[in-house]
Amino acid sequence: MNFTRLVIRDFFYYRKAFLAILCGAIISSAVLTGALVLGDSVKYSLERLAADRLGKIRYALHPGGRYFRQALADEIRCKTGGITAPAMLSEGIAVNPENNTRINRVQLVGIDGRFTKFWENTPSPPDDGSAVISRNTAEKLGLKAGGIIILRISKGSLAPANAPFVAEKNPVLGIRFLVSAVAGDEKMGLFSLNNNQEAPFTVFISLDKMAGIMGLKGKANLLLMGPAEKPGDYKPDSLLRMVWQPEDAGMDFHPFGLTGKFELTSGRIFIDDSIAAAVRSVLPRGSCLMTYLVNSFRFEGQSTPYSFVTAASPDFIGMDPGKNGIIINSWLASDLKIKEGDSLRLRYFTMGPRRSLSEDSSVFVVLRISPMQDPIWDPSLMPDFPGMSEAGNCRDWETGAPVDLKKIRQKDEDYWNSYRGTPKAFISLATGQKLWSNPFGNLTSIRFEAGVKELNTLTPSIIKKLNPAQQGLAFKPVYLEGINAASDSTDFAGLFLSLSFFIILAALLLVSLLFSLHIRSRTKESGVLSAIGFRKQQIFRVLLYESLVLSIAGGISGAFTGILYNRLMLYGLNTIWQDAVGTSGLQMKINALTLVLGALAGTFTALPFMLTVLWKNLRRPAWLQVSAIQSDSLISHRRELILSRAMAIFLVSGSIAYTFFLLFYLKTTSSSLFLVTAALMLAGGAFAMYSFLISRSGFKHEPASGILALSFKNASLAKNRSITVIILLALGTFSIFITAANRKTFYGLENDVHSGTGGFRYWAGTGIPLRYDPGSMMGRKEYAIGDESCLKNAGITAIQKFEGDDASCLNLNKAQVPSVLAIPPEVFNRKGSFSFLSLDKGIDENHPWLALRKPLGPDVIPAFADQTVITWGLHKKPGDTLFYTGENGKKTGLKIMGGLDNSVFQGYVLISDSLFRLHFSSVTGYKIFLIDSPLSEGDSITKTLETVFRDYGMNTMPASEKLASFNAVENTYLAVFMLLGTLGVILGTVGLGVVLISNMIGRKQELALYIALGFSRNYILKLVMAEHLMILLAGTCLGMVSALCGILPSMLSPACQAPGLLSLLPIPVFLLNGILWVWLPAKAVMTSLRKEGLSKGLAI
Amino acid sequence: MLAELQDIRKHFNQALRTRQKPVLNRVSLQIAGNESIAITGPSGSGKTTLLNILGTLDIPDSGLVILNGMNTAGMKEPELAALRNGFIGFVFQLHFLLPQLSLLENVLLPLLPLKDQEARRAGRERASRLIVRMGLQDLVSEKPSRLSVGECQRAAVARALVNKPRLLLADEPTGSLDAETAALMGRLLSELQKEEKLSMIVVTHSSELAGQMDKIYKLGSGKLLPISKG
Repeated sequence: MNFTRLVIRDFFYYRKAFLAILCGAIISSAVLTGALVLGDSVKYSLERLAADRLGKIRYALHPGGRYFRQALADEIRCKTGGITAPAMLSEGIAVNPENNTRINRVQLVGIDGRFTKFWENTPSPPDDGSAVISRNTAEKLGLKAGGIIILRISKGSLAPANAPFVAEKNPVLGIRFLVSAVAGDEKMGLFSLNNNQEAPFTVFISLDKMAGIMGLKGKANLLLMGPAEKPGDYKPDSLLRMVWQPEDAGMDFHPFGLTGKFELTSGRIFIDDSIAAAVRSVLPRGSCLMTYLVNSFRFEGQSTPYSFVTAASPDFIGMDPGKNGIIINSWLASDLKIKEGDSLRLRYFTMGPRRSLSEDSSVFVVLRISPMQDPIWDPSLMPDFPGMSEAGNCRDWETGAPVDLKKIRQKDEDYWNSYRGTPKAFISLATGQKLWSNPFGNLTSIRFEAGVKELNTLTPSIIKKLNPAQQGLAFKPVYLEGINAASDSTDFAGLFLSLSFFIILAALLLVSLLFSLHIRSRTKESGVLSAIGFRKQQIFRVLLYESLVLSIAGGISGAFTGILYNRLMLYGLNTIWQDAVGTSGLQMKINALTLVLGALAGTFTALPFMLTVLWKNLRRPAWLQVSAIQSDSLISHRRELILSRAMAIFLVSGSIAYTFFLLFYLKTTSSSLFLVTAALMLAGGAFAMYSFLISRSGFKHEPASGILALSFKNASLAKNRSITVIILLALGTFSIFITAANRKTFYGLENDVHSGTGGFRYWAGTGIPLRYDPGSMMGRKEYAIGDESCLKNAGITAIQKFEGDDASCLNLNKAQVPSVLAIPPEVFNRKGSFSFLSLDKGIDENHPWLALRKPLGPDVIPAFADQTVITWGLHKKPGDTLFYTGENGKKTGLKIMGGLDNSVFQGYVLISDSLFRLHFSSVTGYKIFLIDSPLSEGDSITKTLETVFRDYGMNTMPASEKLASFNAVENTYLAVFMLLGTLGVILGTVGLGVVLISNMIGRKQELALYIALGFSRNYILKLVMAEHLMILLAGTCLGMVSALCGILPSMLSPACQAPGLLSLLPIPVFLLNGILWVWLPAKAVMTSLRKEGLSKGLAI
Repeated sequence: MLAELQDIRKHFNQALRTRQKPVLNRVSLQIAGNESIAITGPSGSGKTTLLNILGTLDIPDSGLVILNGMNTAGMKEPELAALRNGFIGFVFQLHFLLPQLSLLENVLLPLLPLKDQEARRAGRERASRLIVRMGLQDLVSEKPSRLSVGECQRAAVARALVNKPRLLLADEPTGSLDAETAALMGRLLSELQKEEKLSMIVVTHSSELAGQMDKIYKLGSGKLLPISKG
């Protein structure tokens, strides 16, 4: 006989009890391990998606609205070996003409054979007339190889669309292609630079064809690079510096006039300041020029419309006109009958945010009238404005600014025919740059006194002075970022551990209950061992061995059972809970280390519960163990009673006081703060119930005078077990009630300005951006929607978008660079739209949107985001700063100043449109629209807009529906939590059944006595039922009352409503389940009592 | 003296000791070597409490318990356990054999805490002798559930004696037995007390069993009073 043998004997003898405890331990360990494995599985799936998405691509250079030579890719490859490919990336619309299905936003990628090398076994690259489409595009459009697809492609331009006077009519072209192949997911079909598990709809066409359609032959806007093959430590940006050419920076050196001299212009119209500085540092003798279109010259009632004026450095015009001086040509002098010394007023447009134009004017003094023969009157001074320079006459001008054609006279047409865009006046460069400065540059030309030979020598020096990043040419390690985004993705292990928290707790409490009962049943054994000389330590050792074996066995078995649990959860996420993850491609990944961790976690969570039970039991005096008298019933509880009553009063009053403090002092409705009040109420209620049980069990010894009083007394006999089950049930009810209450639903509140829609009725988006704000007068005129009667009552708020990662809960990857929206703060301020959960201290709570107007520093601008985006998408908090690298290589900080309450802007960072224009100047047009409309006209307004902007792929949807798509994610998680919570509660009610059985077994004598005293069996059954139903009801009520404290903010928030009856369905379900678990054991005990007979019952 | 209780006071409920009369009120008792004592008294008079205090399973509110010349008040739990293991043997009204162990294993159970292998070996030999002495040699492999109450009680006595204690404490050892078995058990205990040169305290309601002891005390109203035999 030794300790091991004793332990083995114990295991054999108590196998049924141990098996029950083991089951509890297995459940908790399985749920723990399952959640951990789920975390691995989601990360693995996202990493695999990132690898499929990018193939062998390691770096990508995508300078947004800038273009470079396609040859740049080959020049880099010459240095490194490996794979490099130029491509053209744009967005468009895809239509299947056969069934008229369309995708309003497809990713168009112009590729050639170099691109397909990044994947294995890809389809052949498309030729000029064909297109390769991704699997999801094929499925959505119902297309396969051999079918016809029509693509609507936006024309491109080297000139930034937002630059002054840049415009182009009909920027969208529709072209038919033959679908040559469907690219599978592992064969470039998932290609995307965005870190998102949801693949975009993609159509690949020939690079040359696409560049041709866009009017950018030989150009590309995407350069992809695989791993280098030649030996050497290659840094992509260093390689780029070695091979890039002036053309890649948008520089165009060309001779002007007949002088044989050269000038620098830019395809972007305005020369970047950094380029101008570099050129001037190498060629300081160059003349700097800025030519601008003015609306009119006015002198004494005479007016000359629409003319160019050049702001020039003194060396070009041979004098410095000073601040207010102007040199005009003889044609203008003749037209206005103006002479030297007269004052001439210039009217001109300046561009504000949202392409708004405001007309300003300045007065100049005519210093000199120069004849047209003077070489300074050079038609090549007019920049190559798209829509103007190629126009046959003035009336054909497309200026990107409202031109009143009625003002153009025949003599103006004659001037255009004779002199084209020759400026009619010169002012000083400093004055011109002051009046017409814009973010794209402040020069349109630099002319040098250098010939071709000198230029060829100096060009490398100019290029050396430049940093490609300042021209937006910077490689991003997209593969690494993709893998990092997957690695830092939503922590599903943590998420599901939280979601499964209650089921784990319920399983552990069940373990604790079962183990406690088991140990109680062996109290006498401990007493005997103590009496025959076993030290407590030795008795503890025996029981500890047993607990260890149980918890280890539970941990290990649970780890393997966890695989099954994980499989179930994955199945749920890929099917019924797909709203939460946006993909059906999650795969199981089992890491041995995770299983070991799960087993250890399972072991070490169950063990403390068992050790607590052991410690509590062995603390009891030996004589109590030998006599096996329930200490609870003998020892006075006066101190315990006083303490628990004090705690109950303290916690409940604390909860009430804190609620008042939050509501009336802090005036907050923060859910997390109210959860504290709920937790205080729950804890206080539990203490109150515990003190009630003590008072019934203990020293007052009030005689029981009815079935209920007797039930209270009986329940109080095992008050610790009773309170454990009450807490378990209360927590379950609490969780379900809170979860149901926090479900994001609308009940007719979608038009409330404080809700997540901001009071806007519709949300619209386009695949191709609209150049003009359709809500503005100019936009209505441009798109000819001013006459649409139904649109007269519609308010359209157009929003520009800087494309980045989706930071909403729809993206499982961690957003690396979230998308930025340019919103009009005044509009939201006027409407009082949206609600905030947090605001920076200095912000006026009544006008929070206006805080976005004011920059916080030279390169720091204020930003808002949805609170969920800040916390979960970005893992940031208000006050943190996000950094963006602008196309000029400059870093801009977006400081988060506040968090919105559950809005349609989930996934985005919001800044003001005026600051957006300065820091994201290359972003062209508007892609998102919020529409205000009277209820009755909503349908006609959206239909009209969809028709008018069909070529841009406009889609409208109720804003509440947009919000609901985000809510669906949260609601799905809440549904998972409710399901797992309900399972946990069911497990808890099993615990109630266990308590009942143990109570009944321990009280067979008592029950037999009742019978002997003439109680009917039904009466006894009622007694037993009442006692345990009281526990069930107490737990449920405590949970519900506490939850009501927790959902106060939900009830106060306009975005939420009290839970629907359906969402509270689990509560009656587990109440019924609880009743079943009370009735079954009670009935069983009564039956066994009948079978065993009265005498045996009394003899026990 | 082998064991001695001096001025023992004990309340059932420590918290209410100011309001309740003590169950043991300044009880003193001296137990000499090879002496057998019966303690009788009505139910609830504190007999078992007195025995538990003497056996160090319980501690008095005041007073001294001296065992083998040592005051137990200052002893730590391991020392008390060692005292119970080697110096004292317990027999309860119910046998309290562990149901998961065989009869032999139950008898051998007190040897487990022993670290001295020689003592363990000697204990095993003694266990065999005791089992034979109890007439249980044919039942050594049986589980308690397969034994009669009398057999279980004899096994419990063997378990109490296996470590050769000098003081045997028996709490209603015949309480759960029928009259015939009870008489046999009473005789067996008396014989064993003499054979093993034990001091023995028996708490009992049975006047027959009490009559077999050297001295008889009666416990009532918290006081322990000697009563004359016969």
